[in-house]
Amino acid sequence: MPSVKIGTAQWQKLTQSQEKQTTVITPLGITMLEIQGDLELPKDFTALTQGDSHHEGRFSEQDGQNIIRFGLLQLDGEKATLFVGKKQRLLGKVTKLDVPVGIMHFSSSDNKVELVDVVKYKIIFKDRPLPIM
Amino acid sequence: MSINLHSASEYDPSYKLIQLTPELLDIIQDPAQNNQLRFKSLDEDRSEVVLCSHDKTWVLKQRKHSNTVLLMKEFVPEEPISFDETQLFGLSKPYMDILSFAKTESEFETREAEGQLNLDAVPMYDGELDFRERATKKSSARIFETLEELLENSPCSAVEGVLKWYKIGGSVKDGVLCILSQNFLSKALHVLLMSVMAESLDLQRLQIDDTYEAVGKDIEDEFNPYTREIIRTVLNKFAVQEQQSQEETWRLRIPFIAQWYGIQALRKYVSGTSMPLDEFLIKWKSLFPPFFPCDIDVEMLRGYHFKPTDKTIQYVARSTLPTDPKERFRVLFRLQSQWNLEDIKPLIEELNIRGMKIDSFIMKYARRKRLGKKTVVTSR
Repeated sequence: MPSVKIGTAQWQKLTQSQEKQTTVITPLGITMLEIQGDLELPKDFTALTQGDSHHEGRFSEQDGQNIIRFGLLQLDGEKATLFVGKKQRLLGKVTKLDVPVGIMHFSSSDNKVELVDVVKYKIIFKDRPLPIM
Repeated sequence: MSINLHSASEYDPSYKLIQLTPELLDIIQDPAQNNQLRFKSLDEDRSEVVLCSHDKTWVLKQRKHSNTVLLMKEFVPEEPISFDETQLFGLSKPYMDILSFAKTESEFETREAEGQLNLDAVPMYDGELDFRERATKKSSARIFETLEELLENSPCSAVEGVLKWYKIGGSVKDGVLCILSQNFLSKALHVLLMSVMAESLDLQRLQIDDTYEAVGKDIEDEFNPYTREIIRTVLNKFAVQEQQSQEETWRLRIPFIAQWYGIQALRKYVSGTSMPLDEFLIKWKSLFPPFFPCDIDVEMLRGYHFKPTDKTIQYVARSTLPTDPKERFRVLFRLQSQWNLEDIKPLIEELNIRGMKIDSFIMKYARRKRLGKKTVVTSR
């Protein structure tokens, strides 16, 4: 029977302090962001990277891969505002999950599962985007 | 205060979200239970995946959604990221950068469920001489040799698996993991009781070796199917292992044994025909080994009999009753027009799959009334 153990030791070690989580970002620096709808990002980063001007600062390189800066997030208590690109603005909030979720990493190379983090809060954007004025 | 949001060009698909019930959360937070959780499934692609701890099992159900759920992590940019202030839309300069590394399209819901043993490759043993040969010849699938192997191959936790194994009379014979047939188990129990009583062993403190020897004495010169393992199986089913004592000792579950004999008596004497209750009690008592110290009461056989008249009794096999609640109640009322609540309960309980209060469940299909101290159930 295929079976696989879930490694939890590392997560336990990293989150030993019993302090209550006070921000939406977990002590390990992970955030869950939910948008009801799609987030459209350009398909081909490499071609666009060439044309990126300094004052836009959209593209950069991190750990050998191209990444795109798609927006700005502002958190004000429970309220959250997400600015996407230059034109859209979403209003949302920080909510507690009904049931906390564990982020599991399934490694196909060595057939291991590791618990990466436990998320108890998320930032959710339920409404239609508004224009940036 | 604002945060810069970045996205990778491709998301890593190897991250999955799993709902953690308070119990699961406790397990993963407890260093003593490190690495105890595991995923199990019967085969690579088709069957359900379960999540098992040391003693519990959860079924996983994939809940898909169409929202964009991004998992983002904090990072320190290799090169400082700068852009025009016009793009800040009046916000202060970002103090942090986070990068979405995974996008999830589903979440796995966890629901506690009863773990199951996978008995497809476990043959039945009925006391045959050449069991191993037969078992290996007959089954095209692999056979298991140890309980550990079976547990490894079953969608259940270790503790649940072992308890179930004891309950169904699981054993090892000639190096083949097997289940003892009802018939053989009854014989083995009978021989065991006779032998331990003949040797005047303490029924509250039985040990494997003494019991095995006692049984062996009675069957000299003959083929003895009652190996140590079979004795252990019988004790695991009909006795409770004492936890406190240093030696492994078992205490016989006398009322359970009495019920077991009672069910045999029902099958033997009142299957398809009824008998006066007094006469049945005598027949039941006659099945026990002589001088076996137990009390019997027809209430022990709830769920296995009905009373065609006030003073007669007849066997009813639950497996032959309809599985539709409405139909089952109809059949039960045809057998007996009025039931004590306690008597009918075990015959219908298994159909209450929604977990309603049993009284409300009965009221859905029948009428309930109080007669003095008793509650009786009749048809509508």
